[in-house]
Amino acid sequence: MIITNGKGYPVIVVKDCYFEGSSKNMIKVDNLSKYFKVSQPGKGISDKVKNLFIPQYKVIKAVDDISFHIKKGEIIGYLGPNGAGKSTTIKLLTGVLFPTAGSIKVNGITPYKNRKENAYQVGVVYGQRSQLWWDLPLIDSFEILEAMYKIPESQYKDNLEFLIDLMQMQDFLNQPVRKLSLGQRMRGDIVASLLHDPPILYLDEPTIGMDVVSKNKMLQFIKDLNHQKGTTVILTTHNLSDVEKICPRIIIIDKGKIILDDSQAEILNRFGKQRLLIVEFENEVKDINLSKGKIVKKEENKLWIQFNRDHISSYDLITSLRKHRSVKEISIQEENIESIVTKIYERGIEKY
Amino acid sequence: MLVFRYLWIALYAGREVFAGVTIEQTITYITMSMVINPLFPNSLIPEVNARIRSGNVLFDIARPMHYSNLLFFQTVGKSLARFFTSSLPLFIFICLTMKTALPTSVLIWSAFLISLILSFFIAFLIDFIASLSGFWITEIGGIRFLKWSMTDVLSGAYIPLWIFPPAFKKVVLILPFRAIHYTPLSILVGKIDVHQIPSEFGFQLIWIAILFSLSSLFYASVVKKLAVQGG
Repeated sequence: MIITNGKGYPVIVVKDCYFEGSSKNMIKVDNLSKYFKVSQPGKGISDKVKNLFIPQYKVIKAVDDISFHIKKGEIIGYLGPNGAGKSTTIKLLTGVLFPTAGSIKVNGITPYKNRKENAYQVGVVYGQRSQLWWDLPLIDSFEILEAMYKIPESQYKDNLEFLIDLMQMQDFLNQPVRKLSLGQRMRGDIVASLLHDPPILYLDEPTIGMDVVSKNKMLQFIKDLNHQKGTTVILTTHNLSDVEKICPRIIIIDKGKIILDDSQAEILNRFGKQRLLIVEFENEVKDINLSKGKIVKKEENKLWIQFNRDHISSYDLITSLRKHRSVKEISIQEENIESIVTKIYERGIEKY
Repeated sequence: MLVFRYLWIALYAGREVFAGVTIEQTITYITMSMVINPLFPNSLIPEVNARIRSGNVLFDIARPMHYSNLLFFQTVGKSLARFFTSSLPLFIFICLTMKTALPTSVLIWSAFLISLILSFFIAFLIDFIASLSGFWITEIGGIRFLKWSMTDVLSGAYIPLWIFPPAFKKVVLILPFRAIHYTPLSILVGKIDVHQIPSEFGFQLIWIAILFSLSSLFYASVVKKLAVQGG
């Protein structure tokens, strides 16, 4: 009898060790809000002409009174459905946008007041944009950044060598950015954001449109960087498996408000109580009575049983099944972060 | 350039002197205006607007250097490129084929060059201030047209300012635009006397100071209102 988790992996998984955050708060966001005024021109010509003289506005609360503290060396998965306010938060953290209310401190600096100082200590990558110079060879873009960020020559060389090696990009350094593939350009953008050794890195959907292999390399790279340099990372993405792999702590924002801020383990513990047991018997099953657990699917000699971990342990359930029948194979599916977060997106946090 | 040359010869209609300026001075003014024209920035409005519309301006304003400096050095680079590809060949062509009233004095030439550098700053600052309006309004066609027509006429790029009616001329002479083309070119052709050169430099420097403060104020207010396009 083999016990697997339904994907062919053993149930006992050795968790990766993460860089433990020190006690210093790197990013402090308190009661932060950002409202946008959007013009409401109305319908029909008369309303539209009227709007030219007396504009009507609707206030959109892109970020609405959020607070979180992030310690040095943490990797945060910053999640939320489209239009939840993720990118707006990143733009507030980089100082591009002025907040409507509240305070932001990034390593002691208020970004929107001291954009310049803040620029030296953060690296930003937007998956849908590129900071590289479109017509220049990649290496030239790096050199411009070296001059712009006043990076000392030796530090620049070391960093470049380290990053190029890690990202395996020797082959296309001399090609103009416009000729690069998406994955190559993305790697270029990541290197560009890290040349000045920022202690903080914001990644806004960095794996968007990337193939599985490149994506895994990218995630591994982020992890390595965090291990080796203690870089604090905020990662926003729609790809929940990315977050599952590298972010010990998850913050979920929806409609401008933070609805969840907790560690992965705690989220799994709190929300992931449903399990699915898949049992294959030697012979066909006819009638079966379960006091705790629900049969959700049945096929000749195979059963799918959903149960709540708090009500019955998987061991007890299996034991009760084995009493009368011979069991051939068993696998248990746990809920993962992906399925939990999907449910939270769909139903909202209150219904959980 | 040849079109402008013959147009002006026709306008002089056989006269040698008009408004106290000889035909040779005017022709030299006009041809040299064509030579220096490519050196001045005039494409910041569409460039900045493109960055704003795509949203990529968020990289530019989060750099450790001021956005105006970033644009300034980009502009200097472009102007240098155009110096070698347009201005220099044209200048050589003029020297080889035309009779001009170019000065021989080193003093005048160096005064011209200093004044030209100052005009570059003025042209840049005017273009930069105009381009910032793109942060307010997304459709910048009107601003662009307004700015281009104003600088073309008021800078004296195509029409030397001395032929304007006196009242109009008075106004134009205190505006910053004329410091772009008119000042260096008038120094070059001798319309501005050697003794007046220091006060002309002063005029240019004062406008640089005024425009610089204006652009900083404008930038600060505009950036507060910024809404980055697209996600």
